[in-house]
Amino acid sequence: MNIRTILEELMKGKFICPITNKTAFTYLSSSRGFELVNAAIAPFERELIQLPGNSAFHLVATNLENKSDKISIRKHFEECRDIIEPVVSFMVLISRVKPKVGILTPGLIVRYPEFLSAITDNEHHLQQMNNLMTLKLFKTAKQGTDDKLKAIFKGMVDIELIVEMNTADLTYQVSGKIDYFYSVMQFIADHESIDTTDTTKEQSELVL
Amino acid sequence: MNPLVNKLALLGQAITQSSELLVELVNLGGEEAYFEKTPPKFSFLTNLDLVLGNVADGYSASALLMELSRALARQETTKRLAPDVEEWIAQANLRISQLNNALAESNHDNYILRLGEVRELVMVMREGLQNESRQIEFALNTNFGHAESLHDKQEENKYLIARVSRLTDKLMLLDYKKLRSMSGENSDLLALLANRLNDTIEQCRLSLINSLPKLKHLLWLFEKTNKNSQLVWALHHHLRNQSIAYTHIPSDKELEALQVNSQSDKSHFEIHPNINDHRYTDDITDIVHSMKPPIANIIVLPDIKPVEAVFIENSADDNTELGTYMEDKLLEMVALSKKEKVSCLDFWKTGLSENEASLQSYPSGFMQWSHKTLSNIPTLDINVISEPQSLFSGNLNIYDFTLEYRGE
Repeated sequence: MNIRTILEELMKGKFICPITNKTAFTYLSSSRGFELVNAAIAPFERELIQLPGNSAFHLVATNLENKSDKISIRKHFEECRDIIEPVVSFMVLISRVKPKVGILTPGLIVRYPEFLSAITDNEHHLQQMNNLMTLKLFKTAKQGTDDKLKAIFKGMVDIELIVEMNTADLTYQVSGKIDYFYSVMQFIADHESIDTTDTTKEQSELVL
Repeated sequence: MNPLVNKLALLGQAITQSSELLVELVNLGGEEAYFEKTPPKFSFLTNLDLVLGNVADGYSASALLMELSRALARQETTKRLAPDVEEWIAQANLRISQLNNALAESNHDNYILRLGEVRELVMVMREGLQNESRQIEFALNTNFGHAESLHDKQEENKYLIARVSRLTDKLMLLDYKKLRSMSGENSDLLALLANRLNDTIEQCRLSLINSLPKLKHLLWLFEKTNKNSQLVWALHHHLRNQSIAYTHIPSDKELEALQVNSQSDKSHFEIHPNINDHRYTDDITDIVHSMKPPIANIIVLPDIKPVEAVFIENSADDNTELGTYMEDKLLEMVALSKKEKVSCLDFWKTGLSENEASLQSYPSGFMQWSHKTLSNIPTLDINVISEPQSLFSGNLNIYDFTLEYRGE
C-alpha cells in the first residue's frame, strides 16, 4: 500500500471511503494502517478520524490554538454552509423525480439516464430542475435539458458528494463524504433552531 | 487436465438432456419404463449404472439415482421455515401420548410407528430452525446484496428484523427444560428431544447472538436514514421560507466539537534538488542546459571587453556599468585575481555573509556563468579543478576553477 498517496490525499482534505478509494479505505480500516497514518500526520497537528458507521476517513486539526488552522476550519465550515442549499435542492429533486431512490446514502447508485428521461418526460420535474439552475454550484450557459442536468451532476461531483463510476453509462455513486455533510447540516439545523422532527407528507415522500 | 473433469462435464450434460426421463424413472420407484426415444447422452448414464437396463428390457432407476433424488428433494424441504412452535408442541405431545400408550400396551409395532412420527417432527423443527438461522446469517453478511432502491432496502431490513424476532420467539419457547419434561424418562425421546433438538436450538441461539451486532448496525442505519431525510426536508423548508438563511455564527469551541475537516492550503509540495549529490550532477546539468536564462542575466560577450579594461585601468566608474549582484561578484573576483591566484569556490565562500551562505553554499550557477564569461579573456589564466565521477567512469565532475591575472 502506498502510504504516501494516502497521506497526500488526506492532507489535501479528501475523504477516503470505499467508493472513492477502496484499497486506501481497507488500509486505513486496519489498526496498523490507522496507527501509521496517524503517527505520520501527528507533527502536522492533524488526526485521522472515521465517521460513524464505518464511513469515510478524514483529517481534523488537533491544535485549535493554531491561528492558521483556526482560520482554515472556519473557512471550510463556511464553504460547506454555502453549498447546503444546492445540495438540499439536489436531494429534493432526486426524491421527487425518483421517489424510490429516496435520500442519498453512501454507496447509493444514481443512474443519470434514468433521471434525464424522467425529467424530460415531466413538465413539473423540468420546472423543478430549472429552479436549481439559479444556484451558483450548478450554473451553466447552456440551455438544453441534458446540458443543464449534466451541470447539476458535475456540480455534485466537484464537491465530491457523488463520484462518476462509469463514464460510458453515466452512472454515479454517492460517496462517504455525504455522512460528513449530514453532520454539518445537523449542526446548522441545531444552531438555527430548525425543527427537524416535524413530519409532513413531503418528508415521507423523501423517506420512501 | 484431470480426466475426471471431462467426465463430470459429460455427466452434467447427460443429466441436463435426460432430466425429464430421470424424474419419470424416480417416480416409478425402480419399476421399468420403456422410452421410444432417448437423448444422445443418455447412454452415458446407463454406462455409469446410474440408470439400469436397456431399450429392449426397459430402463429403471438405480439406488444411486434414488438417493441423489432424495438428497435434492431434501434440499427443497430445508428451504421451509420452522413450524409454529405452539402447534408443533401440541403435535409432539399428541405423538408422545400415543407412543406412551403403545408402550403401556406393549405394542412394539405401534411404538416404533409413533417414535418414527416424533422423529419426523423433530427433524422438521431442526431443519426449519437451522434454515431460518442460516438465511438470517446470510442476509446479514451480504446486506441483502443489491437492492434496487433505498425503499427496497428498508423493506428488506424490516422483513429481516421481523424474521429475527420470530426466530427468537421460537427459541424462547423451546428450551431444554421444556424438551426434558416432554421426554419424561423415555430414553428414545430424551435422545431425540433433549439431545438432538436441544443441540440445534443451542446452535441457533449462538448464531443469533453472534448476529446481534450486525443487526444493531442495521437498525442504526435505518434510524440514521430516517433522521437524515427529516433533516433534508426541514432545511429545504427553512431555505425556502427564510430571507436570511443562517444567523448563527459558530464559536471556535462549537466548530471544534463538530470535527470540521482539515486540509492543507498547499496543493503540492515544493522539491529542491541536492546539487551537492554527485548522483544527480548529470541530471541537474541537463536541466540547467535546457533552461532559458532570464533576459536580465544574458551577458553578451562583446560587452565583456570593457570589463577587462575596467580592471586593467581600475576605473572607479566601472561598477555602475554592471548592475546585478552576480556581475559585482565577478568583478570583485577578477580584481582579486590581479593580486593573487583565486579559487572561485573559496572566493564565493569567504565573500558571503552568513545569511547569503545559508541560501547557497555551493556556487554552481555563479561558477558556470563566470567560467563561461571569463574563458575568452586572454589576460586571465583559468584552471579547472575536477575529479573523476567514479572509479570506472570517464566523466569528470568540475567542482572549482582558479583564476590568475597574467598581465598584458
